[in-house]
Amino acid sequence: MSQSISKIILWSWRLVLFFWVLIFSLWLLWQNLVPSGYLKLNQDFCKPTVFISNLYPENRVGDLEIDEQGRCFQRFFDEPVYFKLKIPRSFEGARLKIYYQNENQPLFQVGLMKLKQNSTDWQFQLKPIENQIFDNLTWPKLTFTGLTLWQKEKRFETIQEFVNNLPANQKVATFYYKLAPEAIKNQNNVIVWNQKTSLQDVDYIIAKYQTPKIFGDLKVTEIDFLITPEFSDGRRIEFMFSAPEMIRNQTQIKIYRIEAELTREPLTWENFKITIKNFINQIKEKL
Amino acid sequence: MKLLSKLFSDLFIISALFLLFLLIIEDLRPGFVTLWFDLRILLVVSFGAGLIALLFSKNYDKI
Repeated sequence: MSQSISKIILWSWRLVLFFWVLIFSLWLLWQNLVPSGYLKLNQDFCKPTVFISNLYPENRVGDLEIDEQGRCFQRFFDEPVYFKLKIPRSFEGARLKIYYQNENQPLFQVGLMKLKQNSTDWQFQLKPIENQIFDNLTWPKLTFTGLTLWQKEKRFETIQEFVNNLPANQKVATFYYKLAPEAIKNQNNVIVWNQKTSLQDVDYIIAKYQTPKIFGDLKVTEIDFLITPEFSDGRRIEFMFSAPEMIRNQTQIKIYRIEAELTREPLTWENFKITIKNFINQIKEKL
Repeated sequence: MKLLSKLFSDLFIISALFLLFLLIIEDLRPGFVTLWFDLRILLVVSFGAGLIALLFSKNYDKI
């Protein structure tokens, strides 16, 4: 081969390598910026993923298992258990979709963990996944945009009517819902529901909760979280599954799938400049 | 042979330098690279290219 052809091949190869490095670097930047402002992450416990961890700690959870239908899952038999989301940048909202099996654990909740300031700092933004006590109630039920109202004896036609005309002489229990103080006529008749609340003493239950959907032999619940800077450092978000008195109830919950839809403001030219500036500042701080 | 040796030696140098660059970025901002890409791939490419370049250069020397 003549020397000039060898030179052309060599320089073409170097050009290819240079463009490969450039394109790969730009692709990495693009992936980390999440320009659309939307990122969907999945954990199905079959394929390992760097984005969503398995459940931990080890002494409260089982190994990864496969059921007779070939689906992977991880069970837990003590609470609380945790899982972590690794994220490329900060997000403002998270919608979790949990596919699970829960035979007889009455209360099952998920919490978004606040960043710890010290080792004793344990704070969560808790939301209900399943409340079997409410789901098994035979009381007339009204639902509207994530809210549910149970009435021992049907008196109200809509939730709005109930909220605007709270009965002064009947007991109302709230669950993950705060009634407007000006709507409450008798403070003694409004209580926050807990597992020890006797349903005989309650006439109405209003809850920011909806019964999980059924998906084959699995239950599915969607929960929305607002992610403020106290809850994420832009690199990870930690969640907790809580199932009170799980050991005493001798129950266990199988988690089949966790889907997380993360949202933030889409990238514009204006916030692109700010993002790059922040990124460079972070690097400078480290150096 | 000489050309092949040069091609692989270029691949070795560029992939090794790029790997170093990505490792520095990863250290400064954890997850920037490893969330999307397994750095071991680049390590294998770099190591393999270096080895092949070395083999070809030895053969070339013998000739």
